[in-house]
Amino acid sequence: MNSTASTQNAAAAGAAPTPRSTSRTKEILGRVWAAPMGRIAALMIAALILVACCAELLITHNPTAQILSRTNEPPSWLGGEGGHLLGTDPLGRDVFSRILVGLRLSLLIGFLTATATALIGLTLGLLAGYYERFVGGFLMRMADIQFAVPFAAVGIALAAFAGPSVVLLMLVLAFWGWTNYARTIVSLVQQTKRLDFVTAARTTGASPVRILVRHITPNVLGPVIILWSTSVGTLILVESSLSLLGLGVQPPGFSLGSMLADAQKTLRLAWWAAVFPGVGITLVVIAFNLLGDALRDAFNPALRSLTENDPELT
Amino acid sequence: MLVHLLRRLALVVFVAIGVSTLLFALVRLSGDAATLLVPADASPEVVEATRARFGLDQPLAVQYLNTILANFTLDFGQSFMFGLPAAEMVFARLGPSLWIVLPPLIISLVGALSIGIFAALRPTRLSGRSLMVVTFLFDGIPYFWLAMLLVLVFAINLQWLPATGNADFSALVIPWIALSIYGLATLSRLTRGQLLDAFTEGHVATARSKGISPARVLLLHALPTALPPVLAWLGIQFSLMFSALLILEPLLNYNGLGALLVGSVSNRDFPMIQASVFCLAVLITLMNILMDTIVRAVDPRLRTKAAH
Repeated sequence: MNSTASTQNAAAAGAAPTPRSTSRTKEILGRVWAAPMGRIAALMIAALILVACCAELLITHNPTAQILSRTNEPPSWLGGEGGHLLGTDPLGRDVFSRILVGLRLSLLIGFLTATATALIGLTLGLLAGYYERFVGGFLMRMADIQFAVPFAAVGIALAAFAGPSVVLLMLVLAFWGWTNYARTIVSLVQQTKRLDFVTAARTTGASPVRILVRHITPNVLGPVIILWSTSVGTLILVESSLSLLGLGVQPPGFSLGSMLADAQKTLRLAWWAAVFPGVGITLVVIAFNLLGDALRDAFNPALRSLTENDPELT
Repeated sequence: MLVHLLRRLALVVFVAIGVSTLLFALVRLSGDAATLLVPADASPEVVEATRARFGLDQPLAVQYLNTILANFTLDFGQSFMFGLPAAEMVFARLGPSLWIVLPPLIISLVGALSIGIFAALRPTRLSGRSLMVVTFLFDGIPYFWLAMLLVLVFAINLQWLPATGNADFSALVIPWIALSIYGLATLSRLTRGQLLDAFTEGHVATARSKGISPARVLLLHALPTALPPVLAWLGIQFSLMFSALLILEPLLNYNGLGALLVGSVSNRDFPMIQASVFCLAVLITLMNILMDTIVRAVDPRLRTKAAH
């Protein structure tokens, strides 16, 4: 998250002299915070990150200790013994403590992969939009192919050949997700590069790299940040779903998704071990979807005024 | 229209070549292809014989061309697990998978249109808003977790439905519900958003100001404007649902294409993997072309563009 925030600042700072663009970032963040939806999202995400970071202070039991005398213990408020707030799983591990610690890995996977995808997608989208004919044509055809192949199929095949590894999975996910970004920003790049200020920059001898980074990137950053926000939740979902096939996080590590996978086979014995991690995933996804919506609303007036003021853009 | 269709069909060929290339690279990168093409316990003689039979001792470029040609004739070799041509197995399992995916797709569309229209007509009223809050919450629920919850409630606790398998019709109910909700949540929000946008457009305002009845304005003016993105998303939803099958079918022990692919991967049944990924990609592309063609037929703006 930090890296995205700083890229956002850096890129926005490149758009124009610094004071104006920091105020732009502030304006967007202010608009997010002013909307009820955005405020709920911000608070939810802050709470989730705080819980994930301080999990050690909040847990009631050792999340990896297997208490074999207390397997499948129901939640304490349903009469379970041993003070397990959300019960224990079939190996006698405390579900509540595991959710708090598992949340950390889930969030980390979501953040890192989403950020890597956004950077790759932004770069390729910029290139595809700027060099329309060859690079753009080639990349967009690649996107068409990729679109037809479900990621799960690739992830599964890859895990079969290279062995299950969550780092590999994240890498492939990061490279697989670029199409969403590229598809979204390519036309925006094509429009922006025809604007007067870009032509002016080119006339003064600015290199393509400089034009792309300093002049075009700030104008396409809005959709990128919106996509990034919603993709955090989606990526956590993908990791969870692949965990169900045994291809996600491998023991002794665990995420919310791999907890769900562990509990899936013993649904009859300990429903709480499957239900509560799922509630956790749902909360994370809802929080980031909310943030995405709030960001969309916050960016839209800006984007709309951009297109309305400039006939060339419409 | 015809030119457009031909161009889109060329995309199928393109996708087929692309996917074949991807699979070709994946096998070659993961080591000796000959050992992948025979069962794990095969003797060295069998490996050598396979190498010769599939031309794996030839230059890479020749191998590549041969693979592409073989894929286009749907010749993926024999499945190790079933001892049958892999393509035949894929076609046998395609039916059950379409049975899981198509009804939820139709339910999603019909349901999303009703919910979306209802909510778009009452954007500020409590009923419209609360409906959107509900769809938003459902949008965050993972479909695989939802399926697990449904199994828990309807199969384990109430024992109304079988938990797993595809013995009969009743086994389809749980995946249908899970996938319908998966599709409904996104699609109804999209429908509402597109309709609200359409209401602000000039031609809808004109129709309204002429005194045309609200129902007519909605059906003849606003809906045609709002529908194309919704239908386009339906194509994407189809591919998302097929991806979901890779998770749901093993979870529910349902014998479809998803379970076949996952099973063939864990058994390293390479011809089977190749056949199922290839056919899946072609199927998804065809579905998207179908949706694209329907969108073109429905959207008056694209029609006029094509005429010029």
